[in-house]
Amino acid sequence: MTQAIKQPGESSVRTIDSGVLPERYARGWHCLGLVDQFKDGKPHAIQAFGSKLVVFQGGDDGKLAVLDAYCRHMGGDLTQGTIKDGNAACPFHDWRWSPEGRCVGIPYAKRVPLRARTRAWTTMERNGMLFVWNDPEGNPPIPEQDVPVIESVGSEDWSDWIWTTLEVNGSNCREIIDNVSDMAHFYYVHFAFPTYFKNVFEGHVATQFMESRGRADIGKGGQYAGEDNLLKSEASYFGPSYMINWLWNDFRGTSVESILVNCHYPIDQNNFMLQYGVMVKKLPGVDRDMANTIAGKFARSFKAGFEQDVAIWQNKTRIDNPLLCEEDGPVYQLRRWYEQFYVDIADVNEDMTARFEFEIDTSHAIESWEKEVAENLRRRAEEQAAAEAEQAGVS
Amino acid sequence: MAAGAVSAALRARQRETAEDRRLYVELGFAPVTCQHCGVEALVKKNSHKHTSVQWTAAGVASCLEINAARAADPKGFVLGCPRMSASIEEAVRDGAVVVPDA
Repeated sequence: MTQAIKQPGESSVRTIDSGVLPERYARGWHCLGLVDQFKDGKPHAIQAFGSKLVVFQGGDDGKLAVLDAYCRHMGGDLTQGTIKDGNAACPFHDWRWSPEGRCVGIPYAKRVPLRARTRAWTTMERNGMLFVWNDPEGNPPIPEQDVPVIESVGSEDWSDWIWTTLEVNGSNCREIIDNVSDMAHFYYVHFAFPTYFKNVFEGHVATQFMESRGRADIGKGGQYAGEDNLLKSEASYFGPSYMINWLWNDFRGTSVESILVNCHYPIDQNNFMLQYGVMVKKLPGVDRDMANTIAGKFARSFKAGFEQDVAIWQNKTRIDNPLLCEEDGPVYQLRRWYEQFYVDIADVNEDMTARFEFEIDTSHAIESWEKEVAENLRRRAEEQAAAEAEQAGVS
Repeated sequence: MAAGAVSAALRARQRETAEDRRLYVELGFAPVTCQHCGVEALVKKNSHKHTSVQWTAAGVASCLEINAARAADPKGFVLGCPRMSASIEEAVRDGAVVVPDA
C-alpha cells in the first residue's frame, strides 16, 4: 500500500468512504419492549429485521410468542387479526397459528396442509422485557451471550422502569454503537466534561467507563449538564443491541443510583427503533410513586440527550473511514468488535473478540473546554450587564 | 464502461479504508511482558495519560489479576490489570514503549 503514502509536503484531499449498508442483521438478543405492553390478549405489530412480526400471548403458560406477521396461506397480516385459544388467527381466512409457528386449525377446511409452518422466533422474557434471538444462520441462542439479569428489577428498593421509544429514520443502527467510543461528543452533544474515559471490548461485551462533571455554562440540557453534577457511568453492550448502564449521580452531596437500559432493534438497514428504560434506587424516605417520579425526570433528561444524538445522526453521513485525532476513542476497534455479530459464527475471529483496552487522555480536552466554558460565562455576564444597563437607561 | 470506472473507484476507496483500519488498529503497538505473570500484550501510548492495550485471549486466560477479579465477582466489570499497568509504566521508563512528545 505504498502508493497511499504521500511524500512530505504533499497533501491530498481526504474523501469520505460512506461504505455500503450491511446485508444482514446482527446475530444476538434484541429487546422488543417491556413485557407488559404485549400482555393484553391482542396481537402486536413490530417492524423489525426488514420485516413485520406479530407478538402475542399464547398458550397456557402465558408466555409471549413472536411469529412472522404474514400468514403463509395468502399473506394476510396476523397483527390485524385476533388471538383465539392462544393462537394467532388471521383476519383474512381465520387460519390459526400456534406460538410455535404451526398452523393448528383452519375452521373451513377438513385438513391442515402439510408444510403449514411459519417462522417462530426464539423469545425470552428477562428484566421485565421481551427479547427475540436473531441469527441469519438459524442457530439457537449462544449460552455465553445470555442477557444479564438486573437484580434491581422488581426490588422494593428501586422504582419501576420508565420506558421510552424513539424511532430513528435514515440511519443504520451502527451510529448508536459508535457512541460507546465517542468521548468528545459528551461535551458537544450532551454538555458533560468527561474527566476519565476508558473503553474495554472483550468477547461479546463492549464497555464504556466514564467519570464526568457537567458543563457550568449549561444548567439544563440533559442528564450530564450542570457544574454540580458529578457522574460515574459504567455502560456495557451485551451483544449487538442491549446496553446496561449503571449510573451514580452526585448532585451537591446527594447521590442517586440509577440504571439505564439503552437498546434498539433494526427496523431495516436504514431505520431503527431506539428504546430505553430508566429506574432509580429509592432514597431513604422516598416511596414508590416518588421514586417513579424521579425516574421519570431522569428519563426526560435522557430523552433530551438521545434527541440530541438523533439530530446529529439524521443529518450526518455514514462514514467507514473516520479520521481520528489522539483524543478520540477507538472507533475502529469498536467496529471490529461489532463486526462479530455480522459474520457467520465460524468466521468470528480473535481479532474481533480479544480483550482491548483504551484509556483516553482527557487532560488537553478539559483544558481547552474549560477555557471555552469560562468564555461563554464571561460573555453571558457581559450581555446580561449590558441588558441591565440598557433597561436602567430606559426607565 | 462508466459502471466499470465507478466500481474501480469504489474498490480503490475500499482498499484505502482497509489500509486506514490497519493503521489505526496495528500501527505503533509494541509488545510488553507483564513482570508478574509473563503475559504479553501489545501496547500503544499517544501520551503519558493515554494507554491502549491489545490482549490476546490466551493472555487474558493466564492473567492472574483478571482471573482473580472475575472469580471474586463473576458479573463485575474488570477495568484493567494493575500489574500489567505497572509493567507498561516500566516499559515506558525503559524506552521499550515510546511516548510521543514526552
